[in-house]
Amino acid sequence: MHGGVGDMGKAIASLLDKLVRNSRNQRERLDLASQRLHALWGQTPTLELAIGPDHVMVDDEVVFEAHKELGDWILAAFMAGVRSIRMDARACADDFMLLAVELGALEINATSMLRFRDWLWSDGSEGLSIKLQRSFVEVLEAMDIVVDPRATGSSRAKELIPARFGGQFAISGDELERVAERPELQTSIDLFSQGAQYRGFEMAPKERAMLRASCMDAERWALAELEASLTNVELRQSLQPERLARRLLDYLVETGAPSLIAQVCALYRMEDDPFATAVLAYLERAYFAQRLILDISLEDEVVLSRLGELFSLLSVAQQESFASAMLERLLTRSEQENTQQLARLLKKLDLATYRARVHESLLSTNAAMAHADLLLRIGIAPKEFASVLEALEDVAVGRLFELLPDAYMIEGEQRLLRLLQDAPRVVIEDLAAYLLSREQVGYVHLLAGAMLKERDRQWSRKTVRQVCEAIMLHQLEEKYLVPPIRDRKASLPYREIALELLLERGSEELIERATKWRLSEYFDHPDFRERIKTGRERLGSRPDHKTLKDRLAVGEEREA
Amino acid sequence: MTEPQLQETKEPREVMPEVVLSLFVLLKTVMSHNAGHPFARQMAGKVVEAVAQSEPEWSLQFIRGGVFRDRELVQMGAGGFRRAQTIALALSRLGFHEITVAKEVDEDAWLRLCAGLVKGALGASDGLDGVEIDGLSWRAIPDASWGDEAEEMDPEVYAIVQTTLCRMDCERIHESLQKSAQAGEGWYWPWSAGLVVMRRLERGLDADTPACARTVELSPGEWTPARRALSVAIEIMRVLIKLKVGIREARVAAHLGLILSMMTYEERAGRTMLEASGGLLSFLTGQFSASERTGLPPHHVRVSTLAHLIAQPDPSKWLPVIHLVSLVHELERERAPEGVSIDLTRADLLGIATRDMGVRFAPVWVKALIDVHGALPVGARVRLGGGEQGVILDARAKEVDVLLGSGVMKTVGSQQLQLVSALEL
Repeated sequence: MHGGVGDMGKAIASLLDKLVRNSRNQRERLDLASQRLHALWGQTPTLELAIGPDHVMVDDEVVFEAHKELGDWILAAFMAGVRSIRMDARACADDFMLLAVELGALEINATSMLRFRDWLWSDGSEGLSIKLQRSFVEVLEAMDIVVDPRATGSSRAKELIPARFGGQFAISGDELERVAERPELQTSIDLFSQGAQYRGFEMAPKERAMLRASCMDAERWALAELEASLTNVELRQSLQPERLARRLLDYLVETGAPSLIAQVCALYRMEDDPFATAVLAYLERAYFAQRLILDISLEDEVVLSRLGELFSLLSVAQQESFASAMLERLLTRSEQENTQQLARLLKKLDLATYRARVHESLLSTNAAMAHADLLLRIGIAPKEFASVLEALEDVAVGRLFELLPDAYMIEGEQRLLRLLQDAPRVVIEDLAAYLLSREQVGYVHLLAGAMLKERDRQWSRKTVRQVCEAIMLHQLEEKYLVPPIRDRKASLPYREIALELLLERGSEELIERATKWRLSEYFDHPDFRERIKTGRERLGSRPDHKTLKDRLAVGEEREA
Repeated sequence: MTEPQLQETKEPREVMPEVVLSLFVLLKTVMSHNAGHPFARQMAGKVVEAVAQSEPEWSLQFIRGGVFRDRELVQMGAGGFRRAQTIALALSRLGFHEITVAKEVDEDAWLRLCAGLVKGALGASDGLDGVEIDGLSWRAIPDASWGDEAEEMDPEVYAIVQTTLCRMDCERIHESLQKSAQAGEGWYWPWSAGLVVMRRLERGLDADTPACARTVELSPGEWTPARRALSVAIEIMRVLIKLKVGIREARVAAHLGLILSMMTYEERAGRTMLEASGGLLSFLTGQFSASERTGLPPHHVRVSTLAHLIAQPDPSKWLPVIHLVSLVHELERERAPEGVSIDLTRADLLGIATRDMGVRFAPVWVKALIDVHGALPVGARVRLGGGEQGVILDARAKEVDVLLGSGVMKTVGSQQLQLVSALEL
């Protein structure tokens, strides 16, 4: 056997034993132990505890031996016919607690065992699969009636049916008269006989399917149970709200029926009702809103409306869970249809509340993208979307800007500017490439403005060149290329490329302004200083000695 | 008797663990020392002493890990259980499951028994062959063994036994309900007894469904309220099983049918479902809160839910299975018409169902019921080609077993039969 499973089996069996023994003392302490057992078993959900008379086994290895004094529940369970216990996928901690309480109360006597089996038969052990063998009590029942069936075989069955009609069939004349006086007894067997013989009453497969479906319709059962439980005091007093909630949750997740969601809404509206409160507390503990959003089909418009109604009634924490599940569903299911369904759901929610519950500023890049995409699908106003962009993190916003229509870009200008100023370099460069690709002067303005403002930042040469080229293309060089050339705070690539392009394609006036001699150029890099000088020379300026003289004159003035 | 002696005196049943213990020690001693050893005789003396306190005659049954004295469980701890297992295993290998002590016997008798048991413990199967001990006897109990062997019981026989026990239980429940009603005491459904009936019924149906139905349909005697109630539960289960409805839903509907029928049926006829609907839920919930440790189990809730719905204006819009409960309940109510002593057969009831199809009964459910029984339902009265009359015992595809009026069973082709109403004869 795999060591891990064996160890796990030991831990689980010990914990179950402890839980059962605790149940005999005080129930309050069972909650935590049940949760631990549930969590532990959940790690190996296929693990099955085989119950022996004085031990528990997993995969044919004894993992727990009953304590002579304390472990008698194992023997009692074994004698009651329990052969194995396995956890179902839908099990919750409560199930272990209930099982422990029942096992704790189980005694080695026929009444107690009968009661335990009643409980199992009545689906008491929801969430757990308990394999039962026919108990010895049941065997005993049949013991004296059938002495030796192996010897008699099936023919004995016929012997066991005593011949009822040993004589003539006969009805007295009086009796027949009485029958004749009763119109309801005037029934002819021929209609049935003929109809059945000629298959007049044969069921169509469709009819069978319809009947089967109607009998097993989880939604109908749940609704009916809820209706009965909520309106009938006698029934309600005997119910544990948690158990009702548990079934409701199962039905909800299984069917996603709008009527059931409406019932939950109705429970939320019964604010002062302790029973409703307890049911809801259980549902909320089980993250029902999250499970609903993740598991049910969102095709039906009525379902979406009910979910919208439910969202408005939920507590803040549950609304957060609801919203988070929407994002999770959006991220984990990429089908177009799913996204459209979620967008339709979002339309049913109060947008401001939804946005508040999503915590936009905390979303990861992917989640932020998905969130924004959903908002765009429902046609969020550009102005409102600008506030979304304000909240979302930079990388996502950078990518989003590459997807946005112009109207949203315009409203998001401030954010765009901030992004171009503050975002990581990679975001800026991607965004710059995109904005330049739009070939609109507005975006060049934005980019050039940001580059100028943040002129000390090291953008890549490639990006700087692209932006500068665009500046030249749109003849914005006076505003964005001339100023940085002589500004030593600007990054060298910016200054160099700006100068280079200006010298290549700029007007003489601008070149003159950009290359006019200044004392500060002596503090520039020699290569750059050389290029400025080249620019001046191209314009036919006087050689440098004149400028040197000027410089000396300025120096003398300063000294004076 | 002095006071200490009084304190030491135990009920005969209370000394059974000591009997088992002493027998175990004797068995072990004989195994290790053989039966002739003085130790073994000494231990046999202990058995004699323990048995003397237990006041024979009694039988000790070793069944599936449990030890019983006269079918009553001997309460022992885990240690006692292990000791009992050693004896049970030895006995089982010899092909037996029960030891009867008819009277107090001496050490020799116990030593002879244990000498045989030792052979069983060592793997032989003939340890007690040909052995006869005055005052001690042993026998096999079918279905008492462990494991798969226990499932070897003939399913048909098992089904008949379970149905018979169900019938007995139902009669007891009905009687006790009637007594409570007459005494003006609280009139509540005894859930635990009801669950026993349902569990038994389910086991029987699982083993052999037609045999269960046949047992109820052909049993001798009157169609008492309890018998009709049981028939209702069986019919509902059969229809739902045939439709492949989940067992949980089937249990709920069948149990409700049983409860409703027990509550409403009288010696002849009885109240309708609607007449009883007002008090049905109270009848069910009366003992709830006192009886459940861990809240109502889902089955109880679902049965109560159906009971609640029956009192609503249009119950079947919630759960259409109520149509089936209503149909079967109504037909069995009419099984024993008031004012006459004739009981209708299943075929008559199906005749009523088809007559009132679409009027009183939902056609699709009538069809589902007919689907279970076919054209020749068990219990129907038939006329054979030669004018002979009989009752259908079993109907297969082309052949039918008919119990003739003379008490002889005859297998005939289905074409040769003509259904006859119980009211026509």
